[in-house]
Amino acid sequence: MMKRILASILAVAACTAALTGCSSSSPSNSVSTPTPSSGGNTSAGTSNSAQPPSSSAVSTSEPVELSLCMSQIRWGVSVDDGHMQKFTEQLEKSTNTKIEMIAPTHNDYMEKLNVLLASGDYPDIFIPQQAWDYVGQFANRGYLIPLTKYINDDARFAAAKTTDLTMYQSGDDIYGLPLGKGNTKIFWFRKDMVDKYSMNIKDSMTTDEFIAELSKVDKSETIPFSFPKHIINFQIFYNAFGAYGGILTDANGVYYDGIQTQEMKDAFAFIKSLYDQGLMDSEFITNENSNMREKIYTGKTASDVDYYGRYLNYCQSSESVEKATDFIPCFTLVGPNGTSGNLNESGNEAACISVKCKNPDAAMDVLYCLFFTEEGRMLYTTGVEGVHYDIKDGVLTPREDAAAAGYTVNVSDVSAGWPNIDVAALPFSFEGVTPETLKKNNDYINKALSPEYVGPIVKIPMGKSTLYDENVATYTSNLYEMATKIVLGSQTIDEAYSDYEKFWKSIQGDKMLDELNGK
Amino acid sequence: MKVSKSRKLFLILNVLFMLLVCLAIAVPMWMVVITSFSTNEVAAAEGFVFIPKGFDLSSYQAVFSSSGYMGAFLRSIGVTISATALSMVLTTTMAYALAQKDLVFRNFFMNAVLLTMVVDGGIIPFYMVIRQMGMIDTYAALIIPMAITTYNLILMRNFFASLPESLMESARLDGCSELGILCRIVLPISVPILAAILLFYAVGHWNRYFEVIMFINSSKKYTLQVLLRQLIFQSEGEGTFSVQVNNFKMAVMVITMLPILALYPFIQKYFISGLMLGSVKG
Repeated sequence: MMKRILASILAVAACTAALTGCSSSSPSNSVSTPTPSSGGNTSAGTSNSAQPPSSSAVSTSEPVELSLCMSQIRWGVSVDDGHMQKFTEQLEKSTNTKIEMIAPTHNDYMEKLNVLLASGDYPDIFIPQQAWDYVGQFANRGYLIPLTKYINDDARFAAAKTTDLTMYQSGDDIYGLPLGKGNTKIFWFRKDMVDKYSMNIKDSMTTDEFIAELSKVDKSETIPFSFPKHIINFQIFYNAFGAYGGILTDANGVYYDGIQTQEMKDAFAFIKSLYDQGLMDSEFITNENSNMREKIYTGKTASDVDYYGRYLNYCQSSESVEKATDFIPCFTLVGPNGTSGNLNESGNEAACISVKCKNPDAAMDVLYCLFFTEEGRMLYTTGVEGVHYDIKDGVLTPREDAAAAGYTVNVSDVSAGWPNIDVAALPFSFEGVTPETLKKNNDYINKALSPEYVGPIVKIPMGKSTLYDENVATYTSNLYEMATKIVLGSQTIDEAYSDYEKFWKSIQGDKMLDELNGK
Repeated sequence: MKVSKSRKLFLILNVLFMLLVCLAIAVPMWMVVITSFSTNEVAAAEGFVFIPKGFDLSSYQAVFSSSGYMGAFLRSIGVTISATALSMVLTTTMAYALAQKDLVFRNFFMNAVLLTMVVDGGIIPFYMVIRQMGMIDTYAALIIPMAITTYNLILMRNFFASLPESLMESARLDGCSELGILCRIVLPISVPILAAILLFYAVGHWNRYFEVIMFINSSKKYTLQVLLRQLIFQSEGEGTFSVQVNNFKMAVMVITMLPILALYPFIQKYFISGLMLGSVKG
């Protein structure tokens, strides 16, 4: 009898241990990307109309405890925790705070953030990627406090008002604080390839010229044009045809579906012809940005699409792998109807404050310090002197241990924030950057951001239409799937549009447009 | 004995198929190792190197001199050893109990265990459980919740159930306790299955990555697999500008593979027989 009891107790204990936590193998590696809810709150249980408390709520003598969730980019591109810790300490010192830094790797950041938010573990401050999509969704779910008061009334954040804040809007309030100036993607060409194949690359090229020049590349030895797997980047081609991958307004302010237009069909046909002719990287659908970048700086591809501030990085990277060359930008393609525009990614980064933040004023102080002051921007983009870098003979030089841990400086990024930092006027220069390359870099950045070349971006604020809020994520993913099928040839354009009609009906597209148009 | 033609053909095809499978595993590993010993120039030009061109240890020097990578390597080893040890203790005791024919509610317990194989709550409930247990940002979150894998438990329970009952019975007659029977009788004759399960657990815990990202907030607690992934996708973001060619990435990958590669030869002889034995009886 004792044996049975002992064995039973053993089994109960073990079963309890197993059932409380263990799983059959490992948990699912996929977290569903949140889709916009129809409004209202979820696990937060708090109103999204919560107002920030006054700054007097917390004594300034005691450090305020805050959690800050941001991906490991810029300051954090280092595998050495000591380097990251020094950054945090510097920020704490400047803002009288005690910061719990949650900094997952860039690729896993949104997955982690989504889990934190969905489980009710809101960080006080966080910076979603693709903020134009997520800020509105998060606000609708009640995760965020409105920042309207700060943006409108606090002169420290006046610069933020120069951007289109509607993309961070839900109802009448703004929930995201943009962290930098405009951001665009353009075409980059390796000069050695341009010379080798006698390509004629101009600031602005027609779509026919683009194909003609890429066709000069010997495809057996070089990929003419590489592209990342992010189908959202097709917009750079859509712009040349006057098409837009989303819901947008016409000249009269009436909302319509950009996909159901002849211009979009023409744009799809153009991209497909690029792919079919072997001009576009046949592996594009699996290309991470990192793969594409590696291809261009190692000379495997003659051109690609990347951010406007990549010039110095491309030059330095190609030099580091003994494939040094200059890089030539093409800022836009011009389509048959004369329409053009590069890929506008402005508003990609914005900071949010969660409803669980006990001291939003202190959180805003941290954001101000980090993103709106020169010192903060330098800290964010270059790290801490004596830890990440030293100034040697007037040159900012990464320290050996920091460099070994992956630390680098993106010079373009220094001046991409709100503070007007003139890199050329800094009391030090950057390793591997000459006045000539710096001047070129600045010229390219200025051109890429000039109204002449910047493409459109349309973001509809949340709260305008329930159907839109509910379906925007599905609508977008359906567009990506449709574009992929057309370009890869698994569906003809007509077949894809036939499917799209059914999809449009399934999401009550016409009713959605009526709601957006206030009918 | 005469072998028929069809049998010969089957054997030839079988060998060819197995060779293809072996090549599919060996060629990528070969390229990883060769690339890790290549110079920057060669690795940049070729991406992955198949035929060795030069020999360069600078990538390994860089990895070994990096306190970040070495710290993560040690953390991975620590987590793997602790988690594997706990897994083995819990799995062995639970499997032994479930293998007892006279266990009260045995079917209920077995069904409860099997349920975890087909029902998965998903990451968000899992995260909430971990948080409720106060394990967020602790190594315990990487050890305790993953302590028992149902598949391994069933494998071991089947093996224990296949042992002759007379062995245990005679020990009981001699006055041996259940724990004594497990430790002195059962485990010494179960080395093959223990070795196989040990390897399964060690590999699983060593390769664990997703849970680290989800449950660990402080980067000072990240394991090597997280850093490896960061390295592979390091220039994904708009603001990331670090450049590492494949030789460095592959050097980290080789170092990541080393502990398991080093462990395998010692338990290889038990490995196949352990799996076979565990799968005989249901």
